[in-house]
Amino acid sequence: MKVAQPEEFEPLSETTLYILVSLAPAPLHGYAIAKEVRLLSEERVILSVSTLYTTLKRMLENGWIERVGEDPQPDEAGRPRKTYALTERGQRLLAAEKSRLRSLLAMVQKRTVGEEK
Amino acid sequence: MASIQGLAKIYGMLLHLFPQDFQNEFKQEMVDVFTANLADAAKTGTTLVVRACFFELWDLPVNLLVEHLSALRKGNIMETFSYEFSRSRAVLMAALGMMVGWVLINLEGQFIHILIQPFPFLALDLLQTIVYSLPVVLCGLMLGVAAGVGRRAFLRIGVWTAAGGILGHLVTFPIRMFNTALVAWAATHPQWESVAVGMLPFLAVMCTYGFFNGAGLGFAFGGWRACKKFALIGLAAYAVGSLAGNYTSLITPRLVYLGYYLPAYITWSVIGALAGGILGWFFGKEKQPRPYTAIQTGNV
Repeated sequence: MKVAQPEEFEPLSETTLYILVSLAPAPLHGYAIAKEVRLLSEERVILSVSTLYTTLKRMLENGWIERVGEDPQPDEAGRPRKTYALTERGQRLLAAEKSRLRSLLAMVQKRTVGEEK
Repeated sequence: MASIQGLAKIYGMLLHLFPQDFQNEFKQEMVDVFTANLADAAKTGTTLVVRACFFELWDLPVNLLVEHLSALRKGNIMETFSYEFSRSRAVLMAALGMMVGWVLINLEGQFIHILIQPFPFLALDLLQTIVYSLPVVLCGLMLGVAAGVGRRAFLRIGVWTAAGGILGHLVTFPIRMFNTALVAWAATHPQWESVAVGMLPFLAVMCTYGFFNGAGLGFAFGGWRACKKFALIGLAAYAVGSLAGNYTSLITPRLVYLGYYLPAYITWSVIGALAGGILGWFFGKEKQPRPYTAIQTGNV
């Protein structure tokens, strides 16, 4: 079976990118991901629960993230919360996206250098 | 807190609208996150709780659609299954399905006004568009029986053949409009009448139907690859069937059954039999087809 390379998925949707970035430092559970995305985007991107989980599902299927057990701190109902972490493939994808955005920004800066002055 | 629990229960019920696999994997987590969101919002005020609920409701339909399409594309319903029809059964079943479909359409013609009375917002054309997919849906289901597919495959066949039928009916709309205009024009030009109301517009409509109905069947039975082959088979079956039916009408007594002339039933049966026959000829094997469920689980 042909394995899709990270470059094949570019450019990522904003939701996917924010989730990847939010998971970059450490594994998080669903609720924490949603809060982190809100924080990172300065309240600009607010994920509904259904959007969050349909995106997580797609990311799990693509092998960008994985479930890594349960958060030791249970939720309000006392249930342990499942946590998600970036896989190696997810990290590669994030790196590829970072490089793409960097080159895009460099190109924009180069072309608009006169306008900024 | 009690109201949050109540809202979470309602949300949990709404999540039943997602495909079963999705529910099994994420439903409980989603309800937990929704409850936590509401509890968070409640700390600030009731307005934010209401806003959070509306936000979820607003986003839900799109995500439902996305998940169902995703399940259709790669899930159990869309799994390609065997279309190794038994030849003789394929011919009989397809002919029967097509003919019963047209009998039902005819009955619908008589009762459609009663049907739409309670739903005045439903345009007659819209209802007819849906109903006109009946023959190909039935034809597909009967071919499913002939292929020995399992229970779950029938849903897939129903969905895709209906889609093909509806699309075909919509695409024929401009041709039918053109034909109506042509007929009106021919009424004032009797010397051209035989051409205007002749076989060509009729054939164009039938071939379009055949192409889309075949594509729907193909998609139901074998995905994109089969879609192209089946579309061409459908086109050929409808073209030859229409011509055969038309010429049969010249030698058949114009008896009326259930409001339709006998030749019309012959036409549709011939089309169904041809479609089934060609499919059976190309893909059929005189052996018991593999059951759909066995292919699903890999026990082939």
